[in-house]
Amino acid sequence: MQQVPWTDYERMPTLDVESGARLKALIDQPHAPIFRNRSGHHLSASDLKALEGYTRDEMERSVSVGDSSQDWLEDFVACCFSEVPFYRHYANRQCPFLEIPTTSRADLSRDITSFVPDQLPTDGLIAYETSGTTGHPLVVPSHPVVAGRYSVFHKKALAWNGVNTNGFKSDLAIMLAGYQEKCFTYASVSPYLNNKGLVKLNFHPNDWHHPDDRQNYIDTNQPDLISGDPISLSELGKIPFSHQPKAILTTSMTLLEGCRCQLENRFGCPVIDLYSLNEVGPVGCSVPGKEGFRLLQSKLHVEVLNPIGIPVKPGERGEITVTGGFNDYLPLLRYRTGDYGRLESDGHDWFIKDLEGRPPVQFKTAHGLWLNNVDITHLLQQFPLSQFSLHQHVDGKLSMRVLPGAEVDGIKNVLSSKFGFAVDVQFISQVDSEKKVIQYTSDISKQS
Amino acid sequence: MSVTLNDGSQTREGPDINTLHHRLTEYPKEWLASPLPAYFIAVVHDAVFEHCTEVSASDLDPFRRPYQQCEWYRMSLLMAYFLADESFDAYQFPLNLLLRLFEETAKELTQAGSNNVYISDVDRREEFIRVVLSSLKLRPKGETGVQAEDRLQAVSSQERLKVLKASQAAEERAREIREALARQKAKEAADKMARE
Repeated sequence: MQQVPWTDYERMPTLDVESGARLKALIDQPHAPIFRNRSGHHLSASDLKALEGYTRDEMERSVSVGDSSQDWLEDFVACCFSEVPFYRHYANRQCPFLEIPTTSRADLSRDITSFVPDQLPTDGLIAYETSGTTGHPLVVPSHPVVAGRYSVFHKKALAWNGVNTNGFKSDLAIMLAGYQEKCFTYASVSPYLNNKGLVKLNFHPNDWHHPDDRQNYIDTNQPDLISGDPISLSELGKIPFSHQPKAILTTSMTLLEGCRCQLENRFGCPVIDLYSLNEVGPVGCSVPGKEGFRLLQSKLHVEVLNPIGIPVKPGERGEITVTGGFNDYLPLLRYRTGDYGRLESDGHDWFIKDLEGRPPVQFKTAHGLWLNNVDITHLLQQFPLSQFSLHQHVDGKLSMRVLPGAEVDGIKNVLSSKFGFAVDVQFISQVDSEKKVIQYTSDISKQS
Repeated sequence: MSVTLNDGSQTREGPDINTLHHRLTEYPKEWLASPLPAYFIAVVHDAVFEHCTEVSASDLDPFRRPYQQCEWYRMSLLMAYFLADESFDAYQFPLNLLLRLFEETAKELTQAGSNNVYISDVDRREEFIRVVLSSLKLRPKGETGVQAEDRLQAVSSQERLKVLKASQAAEERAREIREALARQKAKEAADKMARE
């Protein structure tokens, strides 16, 4: 017979009486949601000790970018060539770093097993599935120790935004918020958050006994942190709870400035935007007073490349390409992420700016002027859109899709005055944070 | 661990081995030098199509990747040249045998030696010829299946036997990872503070 979650030592090997009681209280209360699944950190005491060491080391190191002569990089590349089947087939394994061929999601998708280093055991292997919007579904191999390392970078992002997790008072440290018809939901405790609670909840009414339970549960348990994507957070904001968390972490989708302001006003706390990928984890985060994503990882070398794989000059736009990372089960060598942006330094820290998750798309105005999708994103920043898509037809007309409640007239005015073409705005029928859309598409190409 | 090279009883008689030695010694010098010819994929296509008309464009996708990531393309090129000898003209092969030869066997031979070695060293040349014939379920003209198998064993270099063992281990490892991932896909993973 399956144990109750608060005595689940398999998923939470270090669970003690106190944290078990805390977990029971989160699950066994009048307004609790339907917890449909189980999960845990799967970390042993020795894993946690190693994670502490990793955290200390990472916090002390400077972020990796720009210069390919960093101390760890040479060893990492050599290890890839000796231990990883995919890289062992490379024609030249002695070449300078900048001549190493780039890899892409298609390479991972073709045979992910060839990226797992020879010596790593498979018994603790876990899998994260990702469908993406590129047509290359992927199963990312990982390990509970790797999943635990995410916390280091999330804590770093929080610290850069003035939030110290050691000061958390609530028994519920973090609430992951989803808004989907079907969602993986569970309650757990997190040893890297002082054994406080971690719940993953679906705020779609389907997962609650009564819709009002949602605000009662939040106000009763007062999560210190809430994480989610802009869609689920926007939906969460409509629920009339009064609790103010210490911070909001938002991931997965573009966060427009209008949306950020709306969330900050609603939740009364910093909203931290994370640029995070299944393949490499958190790459960068927003920080107060700066534009873009400040790079987070000390052993993730970030480049921005042009279409033929040559690094562009700092500040120029290109494809974000990464080497390294903390997932031992997926060592990446010059991996082209499929995301585009600019890499810039403020003289001290490095930032990815104007991030877009797809290759550039060109749009044409009635005056024959070409605009790219970054320009459109800037135009739309003022609107609190958590999800949208824009398409230009052959005749120049624009079709925009937004979630119900968006400022349709304002959007039409901004776009039609910029483009000089008619703008049709339709609503996305169902709110679902699981369904990612391709934001920008066009039937017109600059060559035509 | 013993390495099974082929089941000699299921082979057809192939070309004369002396003819094939001669073919290899005439390999174009310019194809030994870097870079790989730009028309590499066309050469592979022609070699496959000549012996199996069922091939479609997507079957050859494994040969359209950047050469820098696929050192073994040089061996595929040598194989394509080798199979273009007129002594193979009368032979048709199943597509999967040809594709396996050009990819998997090419990878194995590459790890055990360079094209230069397989062309200029007479013993390694014999090894190359017998490996390719065996992969296509052929035996040299005038030999029985058992003789061909014995001679393949005799000329098999330590380097290649080592590679074969490593390849078998690698296949086993890939299978193990695939199965572990498939098992885990159905389960929950491990906690993270935020999704991607």
